[in-house]
Amino acid sequence: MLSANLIFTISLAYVALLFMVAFVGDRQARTGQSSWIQSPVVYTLSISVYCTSWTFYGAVGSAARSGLEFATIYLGPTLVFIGWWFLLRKLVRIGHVHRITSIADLISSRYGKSTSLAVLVTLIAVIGTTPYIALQLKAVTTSIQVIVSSDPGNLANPPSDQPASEIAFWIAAGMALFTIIFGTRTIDANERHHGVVAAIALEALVKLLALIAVGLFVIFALADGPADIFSREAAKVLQTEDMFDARWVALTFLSGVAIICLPRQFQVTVVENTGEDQLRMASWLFPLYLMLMSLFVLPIAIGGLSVLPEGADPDMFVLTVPMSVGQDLLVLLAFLGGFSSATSMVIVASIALSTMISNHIVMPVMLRTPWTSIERSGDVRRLLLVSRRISIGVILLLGYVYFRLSGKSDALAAIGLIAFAGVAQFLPPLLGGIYWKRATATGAKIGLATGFILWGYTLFLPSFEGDLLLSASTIEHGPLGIGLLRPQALFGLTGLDPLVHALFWSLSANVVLFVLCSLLVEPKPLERLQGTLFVDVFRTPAGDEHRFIRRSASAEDLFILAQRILGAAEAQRLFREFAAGQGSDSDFPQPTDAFIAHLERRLAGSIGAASARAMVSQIASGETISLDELMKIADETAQLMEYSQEVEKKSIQLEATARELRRANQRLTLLDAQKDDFLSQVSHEVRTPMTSIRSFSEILLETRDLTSPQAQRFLSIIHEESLRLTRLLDEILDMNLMDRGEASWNLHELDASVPLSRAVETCRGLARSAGAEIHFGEPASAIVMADPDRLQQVVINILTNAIKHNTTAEPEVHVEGRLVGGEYVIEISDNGPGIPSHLRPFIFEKFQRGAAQSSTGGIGLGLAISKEIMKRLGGTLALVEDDGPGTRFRIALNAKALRSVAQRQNQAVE
Amino acid sequence: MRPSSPSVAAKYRDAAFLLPLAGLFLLMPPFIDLFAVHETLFGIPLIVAYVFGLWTAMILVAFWFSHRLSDPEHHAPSPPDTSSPGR
Repeated sequence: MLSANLIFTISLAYVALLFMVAFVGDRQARTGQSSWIQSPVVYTLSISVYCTSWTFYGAVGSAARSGLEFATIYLGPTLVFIGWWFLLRKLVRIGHVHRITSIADLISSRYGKSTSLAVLVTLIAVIGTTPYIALQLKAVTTSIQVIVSSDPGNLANPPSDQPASEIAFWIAAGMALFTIIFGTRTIDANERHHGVVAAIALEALVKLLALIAVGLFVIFALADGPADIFSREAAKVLQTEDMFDARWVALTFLSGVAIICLPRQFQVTVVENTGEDQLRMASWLFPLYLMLMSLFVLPIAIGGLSVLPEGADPDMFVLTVPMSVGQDLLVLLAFLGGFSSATSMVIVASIALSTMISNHIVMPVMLRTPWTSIERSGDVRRLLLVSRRISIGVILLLGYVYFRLSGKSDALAAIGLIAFAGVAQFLPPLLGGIYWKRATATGAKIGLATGFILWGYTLFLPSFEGDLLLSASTIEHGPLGIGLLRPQALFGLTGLDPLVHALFWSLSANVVLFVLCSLLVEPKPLERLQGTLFVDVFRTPAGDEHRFIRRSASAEDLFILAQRILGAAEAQRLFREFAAGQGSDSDFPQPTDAFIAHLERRLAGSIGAASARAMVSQIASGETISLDELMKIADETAQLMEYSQEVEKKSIQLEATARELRRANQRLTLLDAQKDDFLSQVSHEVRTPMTSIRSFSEILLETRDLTSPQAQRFLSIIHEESLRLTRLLDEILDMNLMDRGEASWNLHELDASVPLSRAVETCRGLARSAGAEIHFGEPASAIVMADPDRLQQVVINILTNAIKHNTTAEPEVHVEGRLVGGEYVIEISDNGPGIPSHLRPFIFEKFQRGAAQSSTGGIGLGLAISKEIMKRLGGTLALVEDDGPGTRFRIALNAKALRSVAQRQNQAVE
Repeated sequence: MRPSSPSVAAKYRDAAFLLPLAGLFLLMPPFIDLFAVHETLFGIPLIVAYVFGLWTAMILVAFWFSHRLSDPEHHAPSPPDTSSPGR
């Protein structure tokens, strides 16, 4: 049996231990040995302020009444933390970049640094949290009363009706003292409260160990293992058929929301976070902590129901079960666990609330009263610290008063979930604020206010059962007897759990009004700017505001302001650092837009965004917000995408160009090879006649007794060879000129039969000497556009070939000119050996000869030149494919008009 | 431990997004009703074993993911800006 004195002594000793741990933690952080305090493990443990005495004692109570339902309170946060990458990480990043001091600051900062929004959020937070603090005080006092005043025989009726108010008062006072000492050392909310965090981490361990110890005791000492516990009669609480209904969903959702929106959770998770790696570990370690906290809840509940007499308060099972078997040490540990849960929650909640009150209520009031305006000297810093200390005292006093007034236990017990539903109203503006640029302050205000009023009307006030504002009959029948307005069956919606009912109406109205008003009201420039910076926090570099906000202020004024809020030393350091960053040695930096923005953000870390902006605005003038810049930043993403598309397009273009180049290169290589072939052919062809000319001239020079006919023959060979050489050179020159497009052309209308006849006549001599016969009928006449000499050259070339290469005994050549369709066609055929089919495709190439090499002709440029000439004349030269012997060439030209033979004859006469 | 390729990192991010959604699906009616039956597993009611087993599994997967998620953004994770003057 534990005596009252012993409990008090141990409580005092425990509190002394907390003070000591906090003191050591603070000292170590100050002297730079803060490694363990900054560790992710300590961060995770500090998040466990989520587990208050309401969960430490209440979870077992809830399990004894509704089975597994208690687990929802821990499953919601688990889901939020395992999805940390998408929500918590963004909140933490925004918290760092914008130096957010509280959830009210976040919402106000996002919506254009609105003061009124900050006040609204602060009020809701205070109204929701104060009863919660009262609940903690009640839990501690009740636990003390249970321990000291009951003997095992009296456990069924713990004296909860008359909680010792003195105990509660001294607990509240002690907590206030602790919080004031360790929670208000600096005013920069972003600086961690190392002492507080150290103490809270210790408390987190104590409450976890206590619950595990009691659980293990129940399972293995009172029962025979887990299977035995779950086989007890009391385990039937688990088998409620309709457990997984709307309430299960609502509670999971609510607890998931609470882990973000509760001011104390926001404080430990976002404000006190020092790096994303802490969150990385907390993402699994915190769910593990919650799982361990819940693991033994069911066994303790079932154990309590089986061991303790009927009617025992299940909310105190954690204490009364070990008491019933006289395990004093275990009772003590359980008491300390509950005490830890309560005190850690009270400490963190009062720090978070005091920051909100001082930044969002005291500061704005101060800024608006003339005797504290910025022009007057005075230490804002001291004033802020004092206001925070007073706020802590007031909050705890309020909690205590609340606890005294609502002595009835039932009203307080439900406050945990009611507070959750209250802070859940922050969710729409919070989520909308960080994911939706269009969300506006007006929408947030109207949504929040409506949600808050509905929450108060349908849940908070009815929970007092007629003791506060709403009378019992109003709750039962509606105001003035209007049934539609019954708080717990609004607009006739009945059959729902009161919590689900309130959550449905308040959040629906909140979301709908938030979205509607945001769509209807145009956002102000600052809202637009903050919206972009918040939503795109991962894309926008920190401290980019100065691109958009332009204003001017003197460095001296800014320094006075900074000094009053940050203190002289800190302000000096800040100014010097920035001056150094600008590359100057002076104490004062240039008061650029960048510096003013930097300073404002720095001040926001101490007094909140709205107040910092108000104070800077008092000394800065000519503020403009550049919407163009803002549009630009919004467009940057689009530009980035455009850019990458452009890059893609360019690379495709590049690829095409590369292909083109490869093809050109291949062509060049081929041409180069052809040129080499050409040169070697030319050299070869030139060398043969040169050799014979040289050798015959040598013979003529050296041989003295040469007979005249012999010399005559040699000279004629030399002459022939030099003619051949000249022809060859002429051809090469001609080809070259034609290739370069420089050959002279004398194009005009003429009768095609004229050059044809002339060419035939020219070749008759050659034919005679070769013994060949030319069959040439009267050609048709037609007007063509051509150069007569060139056309004649082509015909002569082909005719010559036909005569020269004809090896038959009686060579014959047929030439005819006629009109076919709109074309003038000249066909030249012979009865020679023909061109072998494998050579046919190549006969028009340079240096190809249809027949085998012979010394009679040129080197094979003739056909290539003829083909080129015909191309220039707009006609064609082709080898006709037919099975007859010999070769048949066809020359075709566009004919203009047919003239009568008479005309032609007239022309010939002329 | 961090994935080297951006596409692998993106895959992890997508998978990590599914984790809380999957947890939600498995914990909510009507799915959870499948386990609300009068059965026991080693003496422990099936529904209790299911909830706590799923819970443990989610913690393990979250632990596995916590080392593998990395930033897709260009900007390095910015520390709480203690001093970023002159920017």
